[in-house]
Amino acid sequence: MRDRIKSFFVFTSTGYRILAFLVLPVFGIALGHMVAFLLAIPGYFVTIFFIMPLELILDYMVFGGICAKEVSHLEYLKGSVRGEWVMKNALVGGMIQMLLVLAVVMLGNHISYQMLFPAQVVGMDAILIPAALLISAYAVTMGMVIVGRFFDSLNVYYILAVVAAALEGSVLQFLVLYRYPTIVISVMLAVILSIVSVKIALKKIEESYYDKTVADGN
Amino acid sequence: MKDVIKGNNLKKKYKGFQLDVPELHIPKGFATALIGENGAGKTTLINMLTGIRMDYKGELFYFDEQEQDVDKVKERIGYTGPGNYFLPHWNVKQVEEISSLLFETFDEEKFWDICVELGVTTERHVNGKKVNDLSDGNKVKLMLAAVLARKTDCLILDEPASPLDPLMRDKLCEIIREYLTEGNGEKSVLFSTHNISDMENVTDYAIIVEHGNVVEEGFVEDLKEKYVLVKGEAKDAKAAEKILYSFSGNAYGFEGICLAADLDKLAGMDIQVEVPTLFQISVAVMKANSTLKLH
Repeated sequence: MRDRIKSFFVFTSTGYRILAFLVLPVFGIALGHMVAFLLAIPGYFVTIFFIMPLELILDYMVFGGICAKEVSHLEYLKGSVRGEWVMKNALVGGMIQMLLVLAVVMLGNHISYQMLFPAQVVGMDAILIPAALLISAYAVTMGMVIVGRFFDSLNVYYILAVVAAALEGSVLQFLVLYRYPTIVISVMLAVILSIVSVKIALKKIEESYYDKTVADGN
Repeated sequence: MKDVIKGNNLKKKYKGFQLDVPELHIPKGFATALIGENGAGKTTLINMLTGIRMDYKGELFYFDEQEQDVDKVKERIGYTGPGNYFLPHWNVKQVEEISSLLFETFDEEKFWDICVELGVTTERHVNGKKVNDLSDGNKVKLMLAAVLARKTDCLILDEPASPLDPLMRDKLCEIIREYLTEGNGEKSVLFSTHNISDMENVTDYAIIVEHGNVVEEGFVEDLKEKYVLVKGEAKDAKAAEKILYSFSGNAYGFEGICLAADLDKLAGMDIQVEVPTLFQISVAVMKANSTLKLH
């Protein structure tokens, strides 16, 4: 387990780790608190639309272009039989980071709102709605990450950030109308897209061992 | 002669280029230089040997033909490659950390010793510069530190000398000699190079590749007996040019490389015969096989 965690941390830069584990959660919680204080609504209804694009940018910092046609900078990893194992751990670590930060922000926003308006936070919806937003935001972001990794371009990630926000807005509407189906579908998509994102990236790395040569049975 | 790596019928095709090596022998216990002009197929061949590229035809055998699966020998091979070797945002400390994850025999203390010795860092256990911020020469030094800090039986170095200054090239030769000496005949080195002159004093065996084919190979001492450097007078230049592999002439005379066996074809000419350098032999053989238009 220690080596798996180490794989993720060694794969990422210091800047990434500061942004991912400090700046982003603090920003999300602070923003949520401000929203709750000023607008008297749970902060997560707003912060989710900031956290998702920022998570996409974070993914680009580490894994941008990893599924692109010409994967580069992996020769040292490919020189070891454990290279793919390290990569897999880094990819899984990225997923866990995303889920963890979303959860921390959602929880922080939930607590903020509860502290400010304790009478408003009642019933199952007080738990279900932020949980559903968390899972759906994670699923939508993972879906965009799968697409984004085929391009080594930050501009593509910016476009995907807009698409993610639009999709999450639609999810919010569905959540109001069809609460439990939305939650179930979000959970299923979160699991499937998580697995798919790792499998696609590893498949692309495996394919990088094989050039697109002129056909000669190769 | 035992082979650290042996290859049979190695073929790999690109658009407009094909690597075709019916037999490859990298002798065990020696330093082998893989020599060739740009685009000759050196990096392609090295990528196949190190398992970086898996799509090729043919067979490869490692370590006295004990192993065919490259994944089982990657731990015993220390490979350094060109440009895209490390992730650009890694710093020196992260290279150390990832190396200890990737390779069982990686020695962190030895890594820092080598980094300080080669001037990659001035202190041990520091973050150091990011790979992206290192000069090309320091990137090579960092790669060397990472592979030399492991227990390996074969070093495969792709163009290690190119980005290095003359002092460091001399140091690289020293590193290779020490590696072979400490191996006592059990360790081997294969390196590709353009800097034949600088690497000649550490080269035991040479393989000259041209347009995807091995056009000459052998122990350097044997090649220096097979080929001779001929110097002669300007009046004989025209006749000699037809026999020599490489030819350069001016108003005063000519010189060039020819096979020792062809010396009798130069009978009657006033010539001087000398032992050529590996550089001269390589250039002559490459010129004879090159598709470049050389005047």
